[in-house]
Amino acid sequence: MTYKANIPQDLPPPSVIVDQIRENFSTFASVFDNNHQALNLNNQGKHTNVILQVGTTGSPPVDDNSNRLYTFGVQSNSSFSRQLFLKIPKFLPNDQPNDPIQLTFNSVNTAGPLYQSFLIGGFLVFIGTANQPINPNTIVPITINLTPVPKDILCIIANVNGSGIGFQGTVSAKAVGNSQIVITPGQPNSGATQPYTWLAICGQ
Amino acid sequence: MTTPPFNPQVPLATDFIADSQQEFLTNFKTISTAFANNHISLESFSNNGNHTFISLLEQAVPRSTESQEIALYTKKVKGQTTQLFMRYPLDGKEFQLNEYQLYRPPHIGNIQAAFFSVLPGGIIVYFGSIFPTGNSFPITLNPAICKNIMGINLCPITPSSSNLATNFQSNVSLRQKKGVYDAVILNTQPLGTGPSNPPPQYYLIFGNIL
Repeated sequence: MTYKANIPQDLPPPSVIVDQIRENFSTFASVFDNNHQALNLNNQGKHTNVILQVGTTGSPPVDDNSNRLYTFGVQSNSSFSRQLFLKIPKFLPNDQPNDPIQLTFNSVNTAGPLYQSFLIGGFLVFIGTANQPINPNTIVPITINLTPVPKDILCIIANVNGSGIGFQGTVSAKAVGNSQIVITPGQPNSGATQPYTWLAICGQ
Repeated sequence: MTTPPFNPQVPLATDFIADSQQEFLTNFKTISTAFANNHISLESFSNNGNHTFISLLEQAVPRSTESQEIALYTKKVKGQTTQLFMRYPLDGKEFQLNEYQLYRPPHIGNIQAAFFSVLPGGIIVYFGSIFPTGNSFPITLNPAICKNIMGINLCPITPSSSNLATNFQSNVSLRQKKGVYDAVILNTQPLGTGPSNPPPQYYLIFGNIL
């Protein structure tokens, strides 16, 4: 059945008009049941879920007293996917453009060992632990490959974990291209395997 | 064009259906127009009832929630604008889900590449990299909207000319202007043959938004 906003039209037999009206009421109830608590139930009209269709435009307009949530297809460095966006009414103070805010990313990794999540605004966060092998004479840098491969690497924090051999300032890190980080211990490792904890924030 | 108002009082019991035609037309049209706001239209052949976007009108007070409900709504925030909030069941804890306004702050010459994001609940995360020109180097916090700095993490960037990070000690202090912190001041002391000025470093700083 299809909802028709332009019925009843001029004077078909009353039985036909009644059928048209019933069909519209029935269709409306059925459509409303999608995403909403159905008519005649407790809490009717409240949302049971919200399915957001992908829009064709990047940023719907906002007025002064509302925010808008919407989805939009975004090309990250690793994939194309629909993401959830928020647009606020205006930027305050008015010294920057009021760009929409990307709230999500289409993957997380909570199983490790390369843990990954995201920050709003289009950033990925990678977290993990890396081990420096025993080598009493040579500093062995530790290379970590990031997956999904980000657009760029903006910040790396690495620290000696536990009763480490290092001290403040002796662990360093660097980005190699957009897919690798390299942690360089400050000293050779002459004892047990030495773990380092690290965190990287990247562009999507 | 103004949409005619919906009238739930039609038709009357004494009406002939034919007499009520205009009233039915008005109501069906109004339902259709109102529903098309935020939703795939009623007249669509597929996915009708789904949302095209969600426009959340600013609320004056937190929305009340029942036992199996979570509310998503917007409220105005002092010093910001209308922001997104979430509230747990039974009028439970309310969280501000998005904070402030996000943008890419301008880098400061070639001495600081600056970024920031936010965490729900009023926390801002500043991060990036610095290339200090000497001691008492300011890591600029932009936007300067924090009344409390909760954590500062630094990590030297491995020099390209060597695999070794040079030895040094850093200490930091906070710079405050007009009640908010606008910079973390970085100083370095050498250890042995280490540098007397701060080397290039990554930084990660957490603060409370006003």
